[in-house]
Amino acid sequence: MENGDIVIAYPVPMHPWVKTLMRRRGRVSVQVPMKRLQLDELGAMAWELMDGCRPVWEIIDRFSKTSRMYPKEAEVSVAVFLRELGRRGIIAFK
Amino acid sequence: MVAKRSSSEAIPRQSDPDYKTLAWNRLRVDVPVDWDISRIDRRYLMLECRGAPVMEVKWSSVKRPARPATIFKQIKKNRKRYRDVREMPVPEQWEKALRGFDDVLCFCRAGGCISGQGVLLFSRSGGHVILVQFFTSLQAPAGGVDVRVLSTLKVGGDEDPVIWSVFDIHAAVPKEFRLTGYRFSAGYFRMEFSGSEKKMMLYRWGPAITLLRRVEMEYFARKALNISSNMRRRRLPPESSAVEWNNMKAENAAWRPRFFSFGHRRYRYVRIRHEKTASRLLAVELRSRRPLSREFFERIYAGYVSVPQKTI
Repeated sequence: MENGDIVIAYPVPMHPWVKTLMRRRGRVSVQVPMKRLQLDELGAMAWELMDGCRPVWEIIDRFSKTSRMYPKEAEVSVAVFLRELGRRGIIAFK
Repeated sequence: MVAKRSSSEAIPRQSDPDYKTLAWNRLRVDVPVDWDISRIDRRYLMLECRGAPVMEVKWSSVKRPARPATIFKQIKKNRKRYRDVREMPVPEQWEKALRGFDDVLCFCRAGGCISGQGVLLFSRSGGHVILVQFFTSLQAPAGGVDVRVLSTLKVGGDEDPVIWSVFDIHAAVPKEFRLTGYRFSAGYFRMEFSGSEKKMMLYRWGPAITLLRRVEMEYFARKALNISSNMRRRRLPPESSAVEWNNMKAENAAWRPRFFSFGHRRYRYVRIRHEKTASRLLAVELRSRRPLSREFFERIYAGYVSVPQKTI
């Protein structure tokens, strides 16, 4: 966005029985509903650090240096953020 | 008059750049720069290094003299996680470091993922008992007893002001104040102290660069510190990067009998400043039932600074 915030659109997982019910009602193709999540400046900073290869400790370290947060604060903030993204199904850990 | 303050003058110089001073509720100790507080309580600190626990300190005052051996037995009996510890003789390299204590008892623990050594210290003059435990784990195999940490450990003392130094804040608090509350959460720190008819709060917000991106500091402070309309804004030099409010000329305060203000501290000083280098907002708030001396406030304000982060 213009103000630097990032908006993430992600599919909302549907329960299998909901999909089955909708198919029985004649809806051949079931459109997956999408949700939008707006990240503020710090959230956007953490999001941009996630490239699929970087380990969590490196994300925390870089986030702490870029945002000028105290390392322990950065650790707690990033951990909570990652947990929330994982809960919504936006990211997964390998 | 605004007290001239320099961060470097307010923080005592550390002779060794690889160590930093931790000071919390009368405890003071020098620890390696990469050790950080993972858990904190009124008289308890757990330190970690790269996610692994390295040291635990617990201290308490004792009303009557007690032998460490007796206290050790009580700890073993009452705390499950100490049941596998056993007493050991004081190592030679620790003796010099622990000379300042009247009684010393060393213990060790082995087995499992975490092992370590510790010491129970007793100071008769100060009336304190301190339990220190150093951990060695799979994540921190280089951990263990740091003799420098032991030699700088002390509790109590007659210093005035008392130094408080945790995370990235450092404060020099007059001896009359006692800690009554605290909160350390991501982005917001608060410490509350209570003295004779006075109450003091120290605040820290960060990172300021994000908090002040869309609002001015004055607006932020009014909301965060609940500045009421009867508080008078005082002009400060622009280079101080600070804003102050007070109600020293409280309306009709002079005639109000003292007993009507029981429990209510009607005089209030609040000052917030922006430390641009550290990207922090620091605020000091003083409340009192009697008019406050500006010099007293300036002294506390000058002693409250943000500590630059050291990295190895």
